[in-house]
Amino acid sequence: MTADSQLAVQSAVLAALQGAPALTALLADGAGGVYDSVPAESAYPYVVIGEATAVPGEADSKDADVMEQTLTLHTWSRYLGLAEAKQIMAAVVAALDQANLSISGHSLVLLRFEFSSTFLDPDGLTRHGVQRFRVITQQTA
Amino acid sequence: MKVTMTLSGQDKLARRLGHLQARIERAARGAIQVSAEELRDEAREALERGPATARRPEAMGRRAEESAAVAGSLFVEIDDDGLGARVGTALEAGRDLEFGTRETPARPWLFPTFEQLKPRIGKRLAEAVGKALKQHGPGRGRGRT
Repeated sequence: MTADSQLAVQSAVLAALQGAPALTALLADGAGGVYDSVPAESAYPYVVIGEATAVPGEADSKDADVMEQTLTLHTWSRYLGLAEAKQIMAAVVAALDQANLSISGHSLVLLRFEFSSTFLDPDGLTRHGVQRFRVITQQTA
Repeated sequence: MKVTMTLSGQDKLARRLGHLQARIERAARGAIQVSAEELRDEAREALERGPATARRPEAMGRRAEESAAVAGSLFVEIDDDGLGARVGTALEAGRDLEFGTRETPARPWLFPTFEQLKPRIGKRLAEAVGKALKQHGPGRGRGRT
């Protein structure tokens, strides 16, 4: 169930971001600027689905079919300063925080913005924004 | 780069249970200390295992060196009242490994470790407090000065 629900959540999040005009208007490649895997020579700025964690509910309990996940998103920008990254990150939160996403085979219990951080990449040129969302789902199928 | 663990709500419980506060906090302190040290140790293991991948071969050696440096720099800080703890590193390389850079993909070592341990930490705290309450026993403490 773990991999299945993680993929279902990732797919729903990707679709929600690609379908958010306020976000895609800020990306160099529009809706194509939200990636699972970043192609070489991608135009900045863009957003990438990043790392995930998943912890299942305790077996033999009422939470056995519940999965608690976190999903990290990365924003990469070459704008001189953090303004562009922060604008994009605000649009990501607007698209996802407490959104009522449809997740295949699961009902969404909670989708909550939890954490963000911005910093300059060690290359000295690229701004990197990190955001984390917590997602709790319950299997329905 | 650090994770903070704080126990909250104990003051409300203490108001209800009066003299049990000291016993509960003593039990919680022990559980928090053990949990913080466990998180540090597991995070160190996470840094020391796994492939050191990178988009450029020359970055791989650097990444292995960074992992070793971060693993050796991990700290545990316990609050003065013993009811909160921080586990982390002061090295920027810790953040670069956790979140990735343009050259090297993320290899998170702290947050996923904490997420995995959270149920165990919660259980440990609940057991410690439960044990303290049980040791106190019904009626004990009444009529004492």
